[in-house]
Formats: sequence, structure tokens, C-alpha cells
Amino acid sequence: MSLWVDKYRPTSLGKLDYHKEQAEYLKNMIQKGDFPHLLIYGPSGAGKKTRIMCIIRELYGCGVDRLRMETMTFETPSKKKLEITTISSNYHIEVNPSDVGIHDRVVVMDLVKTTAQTHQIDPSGQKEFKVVLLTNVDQLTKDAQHALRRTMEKYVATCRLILCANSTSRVLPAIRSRCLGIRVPAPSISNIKNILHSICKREGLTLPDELAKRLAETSGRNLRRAILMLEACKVEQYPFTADQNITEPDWQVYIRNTASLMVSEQSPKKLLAIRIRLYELLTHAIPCDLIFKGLLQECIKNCDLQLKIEIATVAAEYEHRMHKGSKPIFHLEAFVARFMAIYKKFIDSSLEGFV
Amino acid sequence: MDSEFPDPDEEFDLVHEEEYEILKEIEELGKKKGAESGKIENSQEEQRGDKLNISRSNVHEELNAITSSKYNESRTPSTSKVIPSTNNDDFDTDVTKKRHYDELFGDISDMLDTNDLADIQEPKDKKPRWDEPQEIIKAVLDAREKFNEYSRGVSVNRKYIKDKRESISLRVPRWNFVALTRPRDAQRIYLRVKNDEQSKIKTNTHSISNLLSVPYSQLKTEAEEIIVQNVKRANCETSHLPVTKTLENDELWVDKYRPRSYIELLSDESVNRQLLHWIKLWDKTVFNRNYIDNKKKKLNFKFRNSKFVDEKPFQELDNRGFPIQRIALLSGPPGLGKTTLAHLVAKHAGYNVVEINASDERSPDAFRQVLLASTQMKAVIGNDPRPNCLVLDEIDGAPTASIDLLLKFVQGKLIPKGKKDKTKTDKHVCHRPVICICNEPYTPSLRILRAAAFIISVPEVSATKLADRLMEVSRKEKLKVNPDALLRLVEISGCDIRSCIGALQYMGGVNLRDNLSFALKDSRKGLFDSWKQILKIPVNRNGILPLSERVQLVLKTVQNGESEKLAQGIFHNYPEICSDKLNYIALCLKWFQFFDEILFLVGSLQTWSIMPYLNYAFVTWHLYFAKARNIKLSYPSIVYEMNQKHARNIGVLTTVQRNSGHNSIILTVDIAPFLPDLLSPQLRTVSGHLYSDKEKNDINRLVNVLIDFGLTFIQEKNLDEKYDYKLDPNIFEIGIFPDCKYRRTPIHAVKQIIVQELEAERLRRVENAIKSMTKSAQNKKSITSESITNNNVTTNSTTSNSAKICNNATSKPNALEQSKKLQMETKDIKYKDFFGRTITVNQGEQKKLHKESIKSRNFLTKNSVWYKYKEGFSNAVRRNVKMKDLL
Repeated sequence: MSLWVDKYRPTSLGKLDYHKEQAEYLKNMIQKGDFPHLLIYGPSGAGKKTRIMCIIRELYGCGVDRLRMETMTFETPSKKKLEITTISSNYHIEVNPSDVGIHDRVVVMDLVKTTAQTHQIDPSGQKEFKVVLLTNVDQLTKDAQHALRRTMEKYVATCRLILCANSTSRVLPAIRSRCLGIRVPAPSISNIKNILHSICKREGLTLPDELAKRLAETSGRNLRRAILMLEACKVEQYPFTADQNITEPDWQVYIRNTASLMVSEQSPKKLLAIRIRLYELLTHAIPCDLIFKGLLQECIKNCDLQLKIEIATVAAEYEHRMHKGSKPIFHLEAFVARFMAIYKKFIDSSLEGFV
Repeated sequence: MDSEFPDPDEEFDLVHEEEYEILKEIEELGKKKGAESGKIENSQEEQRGDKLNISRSNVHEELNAITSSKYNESRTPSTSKVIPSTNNDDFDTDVTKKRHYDELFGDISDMLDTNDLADIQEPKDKKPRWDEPQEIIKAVLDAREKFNEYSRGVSVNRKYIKDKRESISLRVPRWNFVALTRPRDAQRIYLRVKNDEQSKIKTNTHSISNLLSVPYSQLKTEAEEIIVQNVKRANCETSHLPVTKTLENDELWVDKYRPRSYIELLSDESVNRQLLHWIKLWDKTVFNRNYIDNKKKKLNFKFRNSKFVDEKPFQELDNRGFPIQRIALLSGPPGLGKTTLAHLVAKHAGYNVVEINASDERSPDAFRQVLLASTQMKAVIGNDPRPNCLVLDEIDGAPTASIDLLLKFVQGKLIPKGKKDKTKTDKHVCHRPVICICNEPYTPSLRILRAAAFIISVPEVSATKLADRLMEVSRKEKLKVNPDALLRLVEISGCDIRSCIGALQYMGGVNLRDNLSFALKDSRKGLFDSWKQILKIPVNRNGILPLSERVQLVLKTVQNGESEKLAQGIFHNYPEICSDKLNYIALCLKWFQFFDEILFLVGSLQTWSIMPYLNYAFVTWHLYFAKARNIKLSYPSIVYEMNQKHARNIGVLTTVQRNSGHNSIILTVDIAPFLPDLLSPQLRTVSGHLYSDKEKNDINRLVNVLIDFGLTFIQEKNLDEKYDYKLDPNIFEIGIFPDCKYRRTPIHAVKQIIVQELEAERLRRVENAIKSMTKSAQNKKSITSESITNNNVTTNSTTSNSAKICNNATSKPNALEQSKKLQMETKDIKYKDFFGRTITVNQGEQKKLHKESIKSRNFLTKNSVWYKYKEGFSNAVRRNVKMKDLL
């Protein structure tokens, strides 16, 4: 693949650029032959997926590079046909059950069972088990997670699960305890800088150190984003300059602007304007917790500590309620209105004190 | 009536056919009522009177028979129902009248053309202009007024016209005349030319009442005589009466007092006329009469009279003579007489009504059968060979598939099942009018129908008119009712004629006032009404209602379900109306959160028991949001739009995800925002040969990215008729937000180059695949399978494909087909490279291998060569083209 993100992705545990110690542990674990279920978690852009692919490669060798993409069909108890895309090699299968929304339980049950029940065909393969890689486990419904729990024990002889999640908070404790949790922290700024430099070197480009630093900072320690930014910068302007314009994702800018609208004026009219912007964000399929997070981060920038605590509490509560409901717009707008109310009160009282 | 050169009089007749009919009915009714009013004092004998009426009208009909013979359409059967054996006396009068008639007309009728009669009877310049609907409406309304007066028993002064005897003479008369010659015996006959003194209505009435061979006074005395005789007879046979009474009681008043003719309709005259006009448009197809042409001629007529020129020309028929809108859709709340209207109008225009309503099966198959049967066939047996008119009652309940079928059928797109002769497609076009009736025209299933149909919304009947009719009914039923009570009843029922008459019957009119609540409909309010109810503070005469009542009212409003829609509407509208108190808004929005949670719980766990708690959210919203002033509400259409857009974006995402293998969240959050930047390098708008190395690299990279994500540019026409390349699937839509950042888009010429390169790259990849296949074949011979995996991973997966391609290359020389196939193949291959490493490694090797050959621009000639014919190729000019020129 031609995007730098994919082109310079490390392919073996030994070639990983950061958290080398962890990579060493993983390597040792695989060589010992005692391979447990894994739960790999960490922020997005930290290299979880890369690490998992390295693990699988370490387990089975180059055979895993021969990937196929397939769509599997499932039928729910209510006779609804579901389709899900899987990526698989002879040794592993990767699937994102949350693609099918609330029917993920069926996928988990069917897929894991069918995979687990067939034994490894190739006897020359090093391991006698297959790997099922489930991504976005934190978005699985409770039902699906419960279904997972039993299968994990039952088919342990023939298959290992590697679960990949952003945070363990929404993974059932029962599942967490059945897995070896491996946290992949986000790379540090200097890590990212090094990687950016090495990419530029391989591309035959010169990258000013300041720009690398700025890129790393703007990306929010998301390596994938940093590399994409770098490539966008290269398309935009080469040779690089230190104070070059860095492309930020539009949705981030949009959320920031929305938040500044919230701070600038508190009235039902503004609320209506903000609602339209929220709809816009939602239709672009931006995950709603990211919207919440973005709004909160911007809003509390010019609040004092007391207010920060209050607003963060409210945001946490409202986000939690959002996950219990099905219409994010209600909850987002509720948060916006609540923030406006709190902020207006705060501004008014501070003005009074001033007078 | 399709003589080729109709003279102006004939035309005039044709033009005014329908008016004639209406007027004739008016006339008959008038007479009927006149006779009735004559014997009204003897109300006990109503049945007898009815019989008399019938036979009387029969008389008139026969009298009119000659004049009306020019009308192809028969009149409403209600007037032509004859009970000949009932009354000998009536029969006698019949005979005498006939003789009378014969005396007068018998000898001349054969040569007295109807046209001439018309000529005599209708001085043209005095006629009201029938092409101006207002006047007709007025005339009809006047007539209706008259009819009502009769029915109320009020006698009207009416001028009755002299006997016909005075209009025809064999000698030269003193009055104005027109001379005619009887061909039989060359006898001169002088017909009177009428003066123009009468007013509009009188002119009309007179034209037909002229036909009364017996003066009115004489008729009246005869009628009275008959009545007296009947009374005597009735007195003898009193035992019969109760029997008939009970029989009568069995019938619902709603049916009993259903309008029997066009003139009796209660609904708004303009609506009636609209429908009548529409159904008349079918005359050309059904009866082969030219309704429109007549209208047009009439317009010319007017033009000749140098009156009105500014009227719009009619363009209601298409070129094949069908009305442009082939379906009429009557809509309106229940009980307004829509069905009655449709039936009457169809009958009036000379159709036989076939009705399909909700009680019949309306699955597409059954529907098709009925449609075909009713519109393409015609009763052969029976004495009523009139064409059918299909009335689809209660169509809003029909399945969408059936409505689709109906539309297709009417537009002639329906392909007959199991019929082989497709040449006769014209036969399956609907040749008969179809009238649909519904209560709610905005039912989703009717959406397509609405677009194609001629929509007539039936408005509510005016309360006074309805009350009058009720009064009449109650008078006929000998009920003593307070007019005020009737008005109240009408008000309460929401001008629902059916429920009014029903109420009247069952109440017996006795203590109507006390039991009025009984007629109240179980009214289902529309969404807007409900929203208004919630968002407006209810006020009565004493000011704002007390809180408890308000709460009750809101709870009652939201009881009927649809709470999700209601909440949606309130959410949509509240920022416009609520006050500035943000605290309250925040609180109410918490209730929205609560609402959402409950709804989700109910939806996922089916715990319906917590559903009732939802209603209390509405109370909160009412208390905090409601305003006393008038509010303007809008429909929350944005939700629907957003859902649509979201679904579209999700579709784009899944396609890209399938092609690239990236997770959809990663795609939206990280990759999509950068793609617009990555895919718009700075390129000069020069030919591809002149690009520098850097630019070439840029294009190369861009093309590779496009292929990796399965994207292509598709040429599309813009709004301003320009071609533009659009990304497909358009992932830019996900990445780009409005007014965030200025982005340059590559101009058209650059995009063209990119598309070219894209195609070339696709071909090249296929090329590589074939190459690697051959190489792997060699490898297979020499090296073990292990090394294959090391060497080239894609090889195996593509082997079968490339083998297929090779077969194609040998067997099918068609270049175009092959290139298409190859494109398909490339896609297949594309699916297989996931992280791309395999392909790039592979490519690197391949490129190195072929570098020289690329440079010499004939690397492809070593293999089979594909090229594409452009559209518009013609072999008119031939010249030799070398393969290398094509490359």
C-alpha cells in the first residue's frame, strides 16, 4: 500500500520502534508456547493493531501475510440476514463484530464457534490453535460479551482470542479476567518524532526538527494521525519549513468551532445553531463519545477549577446516559444546554462581583 | 354526434350537454317537488305520493324523450324507475298526455330537427355563458336554492309558460316565427321565436318546461285529484300501512336520504364541477366525443363574438386524447359524501360504476384482475351497456404494491401477465376513468399516486347547508327538532353528514339536545394539533386554565401513542418558542434524555410496563415551554434528512472499508480527513509527458492510493451542463466539513490525467499479475512451495485469475470486452492485498524488471495487448494503426 502509514508499518516484533521491552516480553511468551487469550488495549493510534499483526506473524510465520477478505453472512433468530467483512489468513481471522450493531452476539457465537471447531489444517504450522482477532471489543453489547465468555473457555484448545479495545472500562470484568491484558500506551512525542524522521529518511526527504515536534503535538500522540499529517504536509508543500501549515482533521476543527459558539453566547437561538452543527457531525459518522470529548476539552479551557469539575461531571454523566439511549442528539444537546446554563450563571455572578 | 361539420347550433348543444342535463334534472325535480307541495297537506299519503311522483316524472321523461334523444347519456336511473302497474289513474293521464303530444308533434317531429328546436328555444345571446364556471355554479346554486325551498314546502312564484299549441302554427302567425317545410306534404309550419324577456334561470327552466304539454294548473288539479283518490284508497287499505312503515324503518336514513342526483349533492359546487369536468375529459376516449374540442370551439365562438380572448387554452388532454392525469384522487375527512359524489358524477357522465373498497381483497393479484376486468371489458349482456368507471374507495388502506400496480396500469406500463402479443401494448392502456377516494392523502403509500393523480380535496360542508338538509330529513320523518339543536349537532360532528344523519335517526330527535355527546367522533388529532396542544397554554373564557386541567389535557393528548414523533416535534420546535431561561431548557433536555433511555429500554427489553412514564415528560415540556401566544410550528424533517445522509455516508464507509480493509472508525476519524489533501497534489495542467519526475511520482502515488481504497473518478454532468469528475465512492464527503478550511480541488484537466493514469495503472497491475503467474509457474517447476510464499505472496491467489485472463486472450479477440474483464479482475485482486506490502514488494520487483521495457514504451507488446474503442468509432475512415501508436 502506498500511504506511508501502511508502507512503513513494522512487520515483526523485532522491528517495532517503541515499547521495545514489551515487544521482547511478547516474543518470549510466544516462544515459550504458552499463549493465553490476549486483551490488547490502548488509545487509538498507539499501534495496537500493528503489534497484534506482529504477534500473529511471530506465531505462524509469513503465511499470515496471505490475506483474504471475505464477507460472511449470518442469520439472526429473527431471520434477518447480516453481512460482515472478515479478513483472514489460513491461521487467523479478523472481524469487527460491532459492524453489525446490536446483532453482534450472533456474529460472535457463530464465528468463534465455526472457527474454533475446525482444527488447524496445516500440520506443519507451528501452533495447534487458530487465532480469532476481535477488534473494537469495547463496543460490543453486553449480550455479545456474555456469549464470548463461555466460548473462550470451551474452545481454548483450538483457538485463542485476541481482543483489541480502546479502553477496558466497557469490557466485562469476566472477560478481562480470562485474558492477559496488555496495555499499549500512546507513543511519546519523542517516539513519534523519531519515527517521522526515519520515514522521511527512507523517502529521501529532509524534515526540520521543529516541524516534526509540531506534528507530534498536533496529532495528540496518535502515531497514525501524525504520519498522515506528515504526508499531507508533504503534498501541500515540499521542501518543508518549520512553521508550515499543518492539516488538522476537519471534524476536530468543527468541534472546536462548535465549542467556541457555546462559550460565546448562551441563548436558545445559539442552541439551535449548535444543534445543526451537531447533526452535521453525527451524519459524518463521527463517534459521539469523540464529540463529547472534543466539546468538553474546548469548553473547559477558559473555566476556573471549580467550574471545570462541575462541567466534567456533567459531561461524564450525560455521556453515560447517551450510551444507555439510542438518540445521541438529545444527550449532546442536553449537555450543551446544561453547559450554557452553568456557564451563564458563572459569568453573571462574576460580573456581579466585578460591579 | 361526430358529424364532420357540425353547425354552430349543434356545437352549442354539444358544449352545453352537461348543463342541459343538470338543468333538466333541476326541472324535473322542481316539478316533482311542485307536485309534492301540492299535496303536502295530505301528508299521511306520502308513499302514494312518491309513487305518483315517480310516474309523473316518467311522464315528463317521455315528453322529453324526443328533445333529449340527442343525448347519448341516459339520465340518472332514479328518475326513470317506473312502476307501471301501481296506479291506473296515473296510467290514464299518461295516455292522455301522450295523445296530446302526438297531436302536437307527431307529424312534424320527424322533420323537426332537434337543432331547430334548440334554435327556437334558446336565443343565443340571452343564454348564460356556460363556459364561465362561476355563472353555472351560480345557476346551479340558484336552482338548488329553489329546490330547497320546495323541499321546505315554501311555494315559489313561478311563471309558467304558455302552451306549446301557441308556438306552432300552420298559418302565418302574428308573432315572430321561423318558417319550416314539412317534407312529407310540403306543408309550411311556423314556429314561434321567443322573446328575450326572461331572466337567466327562467330561460333555462323555460326551455324544457316548454315541453309541458299540459299547463301547470291543469297538472296540479290532476295531481290533486289523484291524491284525493289515493287518500280514499288508502283509507280502505289502512292495514297495509304499518307493514310498509316497518319496512321503511329498516332502511338507514343515511341510505334513504342519500342524494339521488347531481343537484342534490351537498358538497361544494366547485368541487363537484372539478370532478365532473375531469370525468368529462374522458369522453374522447370512452365515447369518442370531443369534449375538449367543443370547449375550444366554444371559445372560438366567443372570440367571434369579440368578447373574451384572454382565457387560457385548455391543455388537459395528451396527444392520444387521454386526460393528462388519468386518476382522480378525492380526499377529505370521513362523512363528507366523497363516495356519493364519485358515484353520482360517474353515473351522471354516463358510466356504470364499479367499486372496490377496503372490504374487497386488494392484494396485487386480485387488484390486477379487477382492474383488467372492469376497465377493459364491458357488460355485453343486460340492457345497460354503459362503460365502466372504476371507483377505488378507501385507497389509503391498500397495500403499496397494489397502488404501484394501479399506477403502472394507468400509465400503460403494465406488462400483461402471460400474454404473448406485445405488439398490442396500446390495448392495455387504461381506457376508463379511475377515481380513488381516501381520507388521508398524505399516507406514505399514496405518495406516488399523489404525484400522478388529479387531486381534489373535498372541503367540509357548510354547517347551515347541512342543517337545512337535516331539517328536511327530520321533516320528512315527521320529527320535531329544534333547528338550533341540529346546528349544534352539525358543529359537534365536525360537519360529518353521515354521523349527523345517523345520530338523527337513532336519537329519534326526541331529546337531541341532552345526548349530543353521542355524536362526538373519536377524533384522532394530527401531529401538528397535538404539538400545538402541548406547546400552547390553553385558554378559555376565564383566562388560563388551572394547572390540573392543563396537565390532564396534555396527558390526554399524548395518550394516543406516537409519543416518539411527538417528542421529536417538540425537540425540533422548542428553541423557537421557549423563553431564555437556560436552566429550564437544561432541565427539559434532561427529560429528553430520560425519554430516550426509556424508549431504548422498551425497545431492547420489551418492557412495556415502563412506557406510561413517558407521558409525564410531555407534562414537563408543556409546563416549561408552553406559550400563550400563537406559535408557528414546523415539521421535524431535518431528522429524516439527517438519517438519509447518515445512511449514505455509512454506505460509502462500508464500501471503502471493504476495499481497503481499514476499520470504519479509523477511516472516519483518521484517514478520511486527510484524503482530500493527499489526493490533490499540485500539478500543472500540461500533458502527462511534460511532467517532471516529482510530478510523475506524485501522480503515481495518488493513483496507488486511489486503487488501494477502491476509489475511482466518475464523469458526471454538473448542474450547469459541464462534465466533472466525481470521486466514487465519495469519501471526501465524510472527511470534509463545511467552512472549516479552504481546500483546492484539482482542476478538470488534471483530473482527466489522473483518470487516464488510473486506467493505465490498473492494466499494469493486471500485467504484473500475469507476469508473476508465469514466473511462479517457472518457480513451481524448480523450487519448492516454501520459496513461493517467500517470493511472491499474491501469486497463488492470482493464479486462477490470470489463467482465466490468458484463456480470454486466446479465445476472445474482442478488445473492449477484454479490457472490461480486466478491470473486473483488477478489482478482484485488489481485494486481496490487505496491508499492501505484498503488492508493493511485488510491484517494485516488477518495475525493476520492466523498467527498460516501459521506457521503450512497448513493454506490453510482449504480451497480449488491450485497447479500448472510444464511443463513436466508425469505420468510415480507415488507416493503419500500429500497436505502439495506441500505447
